[in-house]
Amino acid sequence: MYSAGHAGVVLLWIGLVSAIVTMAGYGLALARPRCRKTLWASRIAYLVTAASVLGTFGVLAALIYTRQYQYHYVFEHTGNDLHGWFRLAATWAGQEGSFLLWASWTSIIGIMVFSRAGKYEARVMPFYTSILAFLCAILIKQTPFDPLPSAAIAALGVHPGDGEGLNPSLVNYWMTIHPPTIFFGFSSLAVPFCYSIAALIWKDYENWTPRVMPYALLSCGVLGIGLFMGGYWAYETLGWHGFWAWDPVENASFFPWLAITALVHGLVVQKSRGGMARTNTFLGLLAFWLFLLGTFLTRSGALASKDENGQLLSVHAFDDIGKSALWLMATMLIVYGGGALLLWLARVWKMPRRSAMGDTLVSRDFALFLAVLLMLLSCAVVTLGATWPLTLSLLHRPPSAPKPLFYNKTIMPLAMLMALVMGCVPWLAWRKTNPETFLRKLLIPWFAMIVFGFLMLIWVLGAERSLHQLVSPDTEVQMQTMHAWISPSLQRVSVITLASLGFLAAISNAMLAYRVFKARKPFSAGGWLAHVGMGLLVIGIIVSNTYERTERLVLTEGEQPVQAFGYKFAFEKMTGTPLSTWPDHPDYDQHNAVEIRVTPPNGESSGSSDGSKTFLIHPRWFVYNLHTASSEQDLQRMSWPDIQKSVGHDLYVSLASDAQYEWPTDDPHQEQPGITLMPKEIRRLGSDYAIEYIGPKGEPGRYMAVQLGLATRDGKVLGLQPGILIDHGMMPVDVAIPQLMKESGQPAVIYLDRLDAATKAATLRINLPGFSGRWAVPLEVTYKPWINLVWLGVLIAVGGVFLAMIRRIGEARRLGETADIPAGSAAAPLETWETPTDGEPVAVVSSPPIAAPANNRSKNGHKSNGQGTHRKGKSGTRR
Amino acid sequence: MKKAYLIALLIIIVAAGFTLWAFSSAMTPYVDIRTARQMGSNVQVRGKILHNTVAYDMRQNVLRFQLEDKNKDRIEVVYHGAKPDAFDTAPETAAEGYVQRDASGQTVFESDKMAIKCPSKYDDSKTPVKPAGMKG
Repeated sequence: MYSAGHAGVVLLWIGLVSAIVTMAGYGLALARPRCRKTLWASRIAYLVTAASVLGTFGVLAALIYTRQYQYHYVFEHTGNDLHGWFRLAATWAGQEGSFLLWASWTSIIGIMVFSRAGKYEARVMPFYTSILAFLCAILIKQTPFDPLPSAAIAALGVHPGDGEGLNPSLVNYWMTIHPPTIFFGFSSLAVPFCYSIAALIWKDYENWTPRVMPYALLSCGVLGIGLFMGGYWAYETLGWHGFWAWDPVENASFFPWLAITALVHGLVVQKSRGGMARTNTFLGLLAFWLFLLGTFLTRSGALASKDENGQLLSVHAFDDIGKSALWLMATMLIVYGGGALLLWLARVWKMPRRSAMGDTLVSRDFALFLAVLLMLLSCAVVTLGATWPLTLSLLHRPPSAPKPLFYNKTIMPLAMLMALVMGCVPWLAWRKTNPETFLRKLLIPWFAMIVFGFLMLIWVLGAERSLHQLVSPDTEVQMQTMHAWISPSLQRVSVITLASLGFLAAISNAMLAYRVFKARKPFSAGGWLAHVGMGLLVIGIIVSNTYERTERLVLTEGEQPVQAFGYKFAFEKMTGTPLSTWPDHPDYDQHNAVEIRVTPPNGESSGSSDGSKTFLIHPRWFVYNLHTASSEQDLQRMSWPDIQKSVGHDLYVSLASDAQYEWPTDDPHQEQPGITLMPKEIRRLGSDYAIEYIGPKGEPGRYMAVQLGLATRDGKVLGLQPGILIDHGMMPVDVAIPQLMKESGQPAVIYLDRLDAATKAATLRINLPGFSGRWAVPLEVTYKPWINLVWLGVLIAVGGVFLAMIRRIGEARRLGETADIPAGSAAAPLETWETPTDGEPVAVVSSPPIAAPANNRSKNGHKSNGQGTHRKGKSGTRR
Repeated sequence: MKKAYLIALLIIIVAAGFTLWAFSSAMTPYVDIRTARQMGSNVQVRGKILHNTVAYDMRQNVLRFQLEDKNKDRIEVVYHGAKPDAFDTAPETAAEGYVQRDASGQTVFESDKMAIKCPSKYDDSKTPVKPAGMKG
């Protein structure tokens, strides 16, 4: 047992040492390229590094899985209530575990890198392995294998038999797949980084592009899935009401994605036209560095500082990392960032300059240039906002973060331009396009867009009107629009414009993707398909955010249904089994939910005899540290929404605050709930009971109680003595009355709420069959139109990226068989490009009109014209 | 291809200007209660939640409580919205809003946005088991 943790630390040391050996070995291999032995020795050293990192992960996972609570990390992040996959997923619940996850993926990806790098292996791998060395060093400094501090054991009194458990917001199936996915994406960013470094050092700016392309697409796709999962998790369980909150941690995974996606586009330009070498080497460096920056941001405690001026700026910022590990992290940031930037600056002036703009503005070159520029601008905006708290804390200013409004404002015009470019790019050829033919080809999508815009306008006006009608006038309506900073009419215009441009992007690219598919080149359709997804995503985001409406309502047990957005909500029951000691507090049951029956707008008229159109919805809340909390102050509440999905919209129902049990009172005008009695007073309760307050009783300083007699209709008299424990911080003690069972199967209950020391007046809370309180449930109901377009769009986009990746892997493999590292600096990439000997001739593949089957041409004038333009463009490039 | 560079430059300049404008309008300054009373504009005030003053009206959806800043100044916060999950156990909060004089002439802090500071997760003084059958 005790040795397991030591094994982990030893493995980390082995990993660190062998990582250094690997770097030295590859250095030697570079100096003596003929010597195969050094290369093999380096590979073995790398495999040892990888194996020890994975071994460390295995050790930690085993400790977590077998619940070795004598380790601090295990004690803090898991508990006996975790089962199945969550028992394993607790491994990456904390700071150290997520670093270990990062290191593990890095070492696995490294195996893929060195086995595919061919002649580039010795150039790329030293840098790549250095990342693993840093990670091992950080984990040695900030080890997850520390035993529980003796002070903590002393405070607990015993050796812990249970851990603190996982935060319940993490006990969710996404916890098992989201962190591994997003960390795979992050880890893979190291590959373009190292290739870019190698390209800069050896002045080989062209040949890295085909090799790095599959990795860049892999990162882009996997990070895309990761962002999607995070967003869906937030939407579905965290009750943020949305999939994206511009939270610093979300941003920290978003800006690397923007950089890597910009790189993908830059690489397309460089592969096809030879331009953008300077931009691409920079983007390769930037993406990984931004990930490091994001990690530093979320780990440094800048978002969760605990000093007096500290302010929690992010919902899921980690606690402070240890000082020494933080310094290592900062060193990593500075070494990789500063080193890479200096290297790039030293080389950039002498790098080959080749215009990436095409011959005219009407060219695919310029469109891609604009795409890269716009993505970089978005990246800069997000980075500025997300790192602002860190900047302020470095300046010793009280931290503060820009509001989501900032991002919404700035990203919206950029998104408009991006959607426009995306909508045009399928109809643009490389170098130059005849403007007339371009416009002619754009005509159909443009027309479709206009039609869509009009339909949108009708929909928008209808939605605004009907939403106002659906909302009952006496409830508060929240207009949560993402652009409340402009007037309603301008808002309408900008929403319709953005959605229409998104539609243009989707339709243009869908048309082209369809043609490429028909030409039996499914993998070449990847990029276009990704754009279709992005177009749909844009529509989904803008519509679901602008036209979502929230209504607050309170459901009361036994009362009429309440209406919102045409739906009728009726309280059914509380689910879950209450604890026998706290019968009226389903708070304390983990699986508690409020069951609500919802009748949709036309549910009654069209419904069959049993009204089958109604459905049940279960918003939940629970208290999660019930077993470890010593007082109510320690109890942590967490609510969990429920979503009714339909094709056109989601109905999102969450508890606005805890459901409250309204105790019965004999005086409806009384403000305080409960019944106040004076000594010797007898009071009738409803028609069935009478209660007598005999007198106070108690032990000074320890507890106070009241003696009661409760008479029921059938003549029984029950003696009861509810009280308040003084030495437990005034804790009332419930008295359950098992002789009186309620319909729900719960016993009647009574407790003493207050006892006035001077007057002896006692306030009681009583809950009896036939004289019972009822639940009042405050709800927040949000109507989210078109939200499914968001999920659909992302999935299509990611699918497209992976299709493109498969194609680029094929290209890289063919290249690997033929290509050699050219001696000296920049080879002649334009020649490589002009004579399509290796791989597919690029111009043909990425310009789909030529890929369209010949028999289509006669049917469609536009297509045939497209063909003509394309020929012109291509012959132009070949001249 | 001068035009292309011009267009790029134009986009960058416009974007930078727009970003700066949006950025400056999206920041809410942190001030103490005394300054907030003087300013009357949108600010953030941070302080301790005095938990014995908390009153939540479910039907009106209003949360009222006293906030004490580090100068020991106090102000009543009137928060419009659902009670945040961690509010009952949170030692501190930062409320965003503005100071207003209510009908009785008292100044209250009208807020519709709060950031909650969570209690630290690990506490040495913690006793592991809660006595059963008690509420408190």
